[in-house]
Amino acid sequence: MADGGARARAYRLFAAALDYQGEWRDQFLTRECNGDPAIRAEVDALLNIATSELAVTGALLPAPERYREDLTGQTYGHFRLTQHIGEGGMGVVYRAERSDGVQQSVAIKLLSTTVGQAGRARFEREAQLLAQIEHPAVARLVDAGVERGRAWLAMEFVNGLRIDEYCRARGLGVDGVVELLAQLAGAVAAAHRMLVVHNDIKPANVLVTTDGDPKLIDFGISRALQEVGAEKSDGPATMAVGRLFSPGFAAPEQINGGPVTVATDIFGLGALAYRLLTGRTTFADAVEPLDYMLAITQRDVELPSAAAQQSGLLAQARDLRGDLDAILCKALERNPARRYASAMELQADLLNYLARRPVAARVPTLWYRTAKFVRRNLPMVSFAAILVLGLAVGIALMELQRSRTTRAQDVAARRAEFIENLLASADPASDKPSVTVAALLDTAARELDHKLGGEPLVEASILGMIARTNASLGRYPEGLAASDRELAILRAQGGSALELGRALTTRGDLLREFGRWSDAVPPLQQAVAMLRPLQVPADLCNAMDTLGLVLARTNQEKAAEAMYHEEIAIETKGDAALRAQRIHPMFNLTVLLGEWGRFTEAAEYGRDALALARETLPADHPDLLSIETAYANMLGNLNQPVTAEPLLREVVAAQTRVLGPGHKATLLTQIGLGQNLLTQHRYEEAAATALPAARSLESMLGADNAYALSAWHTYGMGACGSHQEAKGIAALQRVDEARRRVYPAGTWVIYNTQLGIGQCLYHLRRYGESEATLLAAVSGLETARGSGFNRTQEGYRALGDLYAAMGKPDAAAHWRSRILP
Amino acid sequence: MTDSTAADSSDISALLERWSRGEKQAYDQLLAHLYGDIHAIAVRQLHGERHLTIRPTALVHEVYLRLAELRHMQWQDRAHFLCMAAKVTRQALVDEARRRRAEKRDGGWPVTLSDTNLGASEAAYDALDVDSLLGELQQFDAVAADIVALRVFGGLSIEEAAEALKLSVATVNRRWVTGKSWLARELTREA
Repeated sequence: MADGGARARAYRLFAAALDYQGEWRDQFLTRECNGDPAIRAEVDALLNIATSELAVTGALLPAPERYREDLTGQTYGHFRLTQHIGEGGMGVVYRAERSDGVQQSVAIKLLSTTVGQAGRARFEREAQLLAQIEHPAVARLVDAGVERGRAWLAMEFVNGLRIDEYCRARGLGVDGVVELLAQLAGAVAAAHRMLVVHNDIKPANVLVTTDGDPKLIDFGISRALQEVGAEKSDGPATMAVGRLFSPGFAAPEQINGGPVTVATDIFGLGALAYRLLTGRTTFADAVEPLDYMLAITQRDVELPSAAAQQSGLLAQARDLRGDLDAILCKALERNPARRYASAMELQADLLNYLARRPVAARVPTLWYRTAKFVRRNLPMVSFAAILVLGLAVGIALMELQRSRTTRAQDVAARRAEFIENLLASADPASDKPSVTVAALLDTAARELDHKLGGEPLVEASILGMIARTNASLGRYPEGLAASDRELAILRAQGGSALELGRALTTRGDLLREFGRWSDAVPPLQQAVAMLRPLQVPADLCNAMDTLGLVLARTNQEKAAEAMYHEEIAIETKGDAALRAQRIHPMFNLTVLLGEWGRFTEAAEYGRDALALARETLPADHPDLLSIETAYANMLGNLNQPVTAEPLLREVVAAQTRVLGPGHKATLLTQIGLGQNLLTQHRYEEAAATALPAARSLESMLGADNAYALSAWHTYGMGACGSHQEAKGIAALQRVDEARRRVYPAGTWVIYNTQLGIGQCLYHLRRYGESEATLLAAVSGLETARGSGFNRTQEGYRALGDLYAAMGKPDAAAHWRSRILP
Repeated sequence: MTDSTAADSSDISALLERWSRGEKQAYDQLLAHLYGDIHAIAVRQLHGERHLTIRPTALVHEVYLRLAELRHMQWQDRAHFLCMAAKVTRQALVDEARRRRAEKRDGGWPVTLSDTNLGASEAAYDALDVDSLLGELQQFDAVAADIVALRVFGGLSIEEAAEALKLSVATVNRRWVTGKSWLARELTREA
């Protein structure tokens, strides 16, 4: 048929014959070919091609019905084709029965590829490999071969529905679908262990049996196909770019020619999950293959929960939000390296989701684990504890990021890991119904030794964290115990100056919180000395700040003031984060100068600290609230108690909300409010405000704690002013006795109590006792803080009132003349 | 020919703009640029290979992806772009195959095509054979020859080919079946 004219004629006859079916076609050709067997043979050959499965109409279009050839009755291997099931780009599928009498149904896939000798060998090798995949969720390959130049595969016949149809028919919920997916991931993992990649995971390739068991079909077929085709070229040089692919399910590397690996199947599982859970395929808007190619290589998939929402699946969307969003997105990462490393990991995460355990896909892991822990233990974990735990975890993460040296990084990483395991171990599914953060910390402290005995520096680092977290929880003895262990380890193991400096700061801070100010001075001075030569301004400033606080409480106000100023100077030179830290020394200066009676300066620092805090801290941040308290207290001291009162009440409300009613910071603000009310002469309210705070602080911190004493003092004054003098004096005398023990002799606070007692005695008209007490108090206050100090001034006023009441106007005038305008 | 794609990016972008505004002149210049682009990709992939199978569809898609990225917008007229790309790809591959044939003493290593939509998905055909057979088909069914060329060299879908050639889908489908069957028959005809 070399003649061009004859070829053209054969072509035209062939095209025309396609309009006729069956015997009509035969009649037409017999008439037209008119006894020319060569033409007839040529037309028949063309018709054969057009109607055979070898010429599927376009890779992405199904073959038109009328061109399909019925192969029923043909045998391949031991199998006889009984029923046409379906077809796809790769070939046609028939149901078949064994022809040798054995009862066995299989699905036979006839590949639309002609195979030669070399291809046959490769194909059979590939088929052998596929036959070794044994997993309940993989349709087994029963047999394979090449017959009539056509490769065929016989697979376990699965009587079931396509997975998407199954899910729809059964009305399967999110958990049901995830269960199926987890089984499939397990099947894929089993195949991967045999070094077989499926390469084309999509709903059409997953059937679910009537028993509800999913079965993956066509495992490795595309690869087998490739082996068959490879014989045509000289080597493995098949062009990498582009292949047939299923829009919505193909991974980016299948489109842009990257290597196809197990990660490709992870993507396929993710895309399948996406379709089943959201009701739409990935990039549902990209209908055309080309659009999909663009989308998948350039964009991230839409969040599954958002996709479900758009599909109108509102309940699904809610369930997907969070964990499943994270799992699917991790599986559908464009970069294969960022997906799950194995199908096993994906399966594990799906199972985690089902068990409501933390899923690995969520990052950063530690934060998320904390949230998960807290959610599960919600009734047991107070909000304060959540906050504290969050802070501890946050600090751990931050340090992990910041640590520069390898060793520090190792320690930080191991510590994060330990905390993570700790949180994971507190699983409600296990038999520990009530785990509190406190219990968690104690468990950590106990288990540290045998878990990390061989890693003393990691152990020390965690002990430091336990110490700080306990401190924030107000559990000072536990904190101190951890701090002691930390320091002991660091000293024995030759910890670095930085580690020791930090540990000493923690210890000093704990002692300070405990009210053991004199004890706190040496470790903090040591810490400052150790940290000063190192280039660690943040740590140094932290130590200086704490040292300033204890100096201020141990009659060394001048040294404290200098310390704060030096700290502010260092911080001002630092980066934005460090500059924001100026809040603390400024705040402390406000308190210090306020107590000192230098109200105008105090007000300046207070305003600055408050402005800085409001700028850098979120509303309701505990530090911001504390600063507002200090500022309000100062306003009270500046004779603006009425202005300060609403601010204090707001802060108490916010702290109650954020930290809890029993938190130390909340209670301290309540003391401030009580003192504010005292200066407004609203004694009864002052006593009512201070009493619960005093009781809470005492039970939390101990009877000798400075804050508890301060609260009792306020209560005592309020009681005295509101006709409960006996109770008031009793309270003040207890405070006096304790303060004389706790504070160094000569500290102004001691005289302040005396002043209060004197005022009470005056209310009781015990003028003689009152006079002696007040004179002693005023003299002490003058010595400690000078005549301008607001407590001293209060003393002058009290003496003036007393002498006036005693009928001694000259003496009254003498003391009143010392009152500053 | 060196890889000129990067240097020409901005030119192509500008040409695409002009073409989308309907400038006829831009079309020819665009063809020239696209030729360079596609030929460069083909040469790069053929480089060092004694015998390599090209997927023309993938070639076009790669250019398409690249240009779409370049333009940061969707193609308004994808069918027409693909039509143009198919033409250019055919030319570039045929030129390259001829050059190879001329260069090598033993007749050179052929450029073969796979993923041609012609049926057996992994079969590969000599680019020059496909080209000359399409030339022959052009003689007795020009429409079918155009459709097959678009599908084989540009990877156009039936619908896209219908749009590009201003024909009905049914017609394209039908002519595709006849044209493709004929081509497949000729390509697999025993010598």
